[in-house]
Amino acid sequence: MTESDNAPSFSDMPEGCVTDILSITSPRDACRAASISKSFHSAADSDAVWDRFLPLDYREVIARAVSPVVFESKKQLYHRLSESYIILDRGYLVSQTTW
Amino acid sequence: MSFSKTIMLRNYDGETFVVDEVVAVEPQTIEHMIEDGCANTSIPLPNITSKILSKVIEHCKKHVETPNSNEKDAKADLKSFDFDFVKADQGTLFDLILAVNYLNIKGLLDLIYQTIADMIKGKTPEEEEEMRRVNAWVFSCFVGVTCLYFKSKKI
Repeated sequence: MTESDNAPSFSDMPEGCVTDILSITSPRDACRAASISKSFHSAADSDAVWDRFLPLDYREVIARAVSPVVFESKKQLYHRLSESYIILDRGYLVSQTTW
Repeated sequence: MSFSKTIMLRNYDGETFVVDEVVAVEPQTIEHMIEDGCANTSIPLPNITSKILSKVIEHCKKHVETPNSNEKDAKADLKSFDFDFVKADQGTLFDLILAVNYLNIKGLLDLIYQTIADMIKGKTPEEEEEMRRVNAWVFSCFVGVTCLYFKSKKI
């Protein structure tokens, strides 16, 4: 049990709490938080956080891509979609989302 | 004269808190314990201190007692209460997160999460470097640096 007069320890906080907090900051703040320490790195890079930064319809968007959009993490998908164009609907539509 | 049903909460320090049932069920954890018939004597909360439980009960009571209306005054009053509620030292905020997470009080948890998220957001490179330098106490540093920053800006 932590008390206010004992220094709080990051290791005492459930990772779910950390991800919930980081997911209501911003992608930039989450990236910065990842560089603070190993513990924050794990939470800040998690799919739970980056899923909240992706738009609600991202699955529908990437399903329409001419070339499959391959990603290993939600963070990677976020950067992929925000840094380059993807061609949708057999080439009739080009999308680059800026989030 | 009407009597409202009360619930007894016994905490880590062995202290007993008697609260109206309508307030006690704000935490979903306690609501479920009552539904499961675990509240015949007192509900044990062995991982929460008196200081933190008092604050939690204060918040639940305020939100239960404030009329649930769209009235401007009522909303402003609650907002002001919440604003003052999270003006706590880092240790208290940290202990509150653990307690409120256990008790499962969504509104209060969201409030504390937002408070800490606001402290994390938009730090300058100098403030980030300060956090990295003392990353063994990373969580307290987030709060500490923000407090120092705000203090220096007289906010």
